[in-house]
Amino acid sequence: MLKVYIFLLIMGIMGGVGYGGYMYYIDTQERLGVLRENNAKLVVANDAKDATIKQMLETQNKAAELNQALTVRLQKSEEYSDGLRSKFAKINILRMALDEPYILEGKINNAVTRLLDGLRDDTDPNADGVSGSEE
Amino acid sequence: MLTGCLGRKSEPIVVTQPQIIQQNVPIQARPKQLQLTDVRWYVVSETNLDEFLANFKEEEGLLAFMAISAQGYENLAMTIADMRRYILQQKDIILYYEQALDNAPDDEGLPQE
Repeated sequence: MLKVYIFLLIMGIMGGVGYGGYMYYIDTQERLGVLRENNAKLVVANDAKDATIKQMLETQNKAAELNQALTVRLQKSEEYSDGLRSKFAKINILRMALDEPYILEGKINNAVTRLLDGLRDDTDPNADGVSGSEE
Repeated sequence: MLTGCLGRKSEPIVVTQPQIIQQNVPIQARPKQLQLTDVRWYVVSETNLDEFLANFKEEEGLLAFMAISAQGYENLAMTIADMRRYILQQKDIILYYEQALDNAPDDEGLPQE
């Protein structure tokens, strides 16, 4: 009878160890699955982060280039006013009106025509030109 | 072994939600072109005043005109030049923003969930 009890006890212990091992295996596999999935998600998230950072840097560089180009164009927009100011500084319009009214009249009308043409070009919605592209 | 197995906490499940937020600002059409009408200027001084009056009356029928001094003409010219400068710079700034918007990040290379 004692042998039977010892046998049952050993079987019980072996069964317990076997069940424990089986459960440990199942649990480990589940964990491995979760960790594998987590890893894949983190790789994707990391790639997205890297791509975003890259694009942000590209955007920043592009903004710097655009800003530089804008500064040049804004400067160029001053050219017409500066040119006109220097013309008025060089000539005495009153003296010209007294001495050569018709010559001055022709110059003024030509300049006004050019100015109006320039304004038409500047405000042409189909023109891609930037400031000072003409004239 | 059993207690160790049962006592283990389950692995946390990582939840990632990569979101790509794109700028969605449509580029607006430019305003209509300026409709400008040509203007003729007369330069009149004491040298050609009589001639101008005679010719003007013959051309226009009536002797009525707006006069402006030489200094007034210079001021008007500079004022219009400054307005043109403003239009051009405004256009440049709009172009700057349009180009910046055109550079909006797209989803190329970004993994989607």
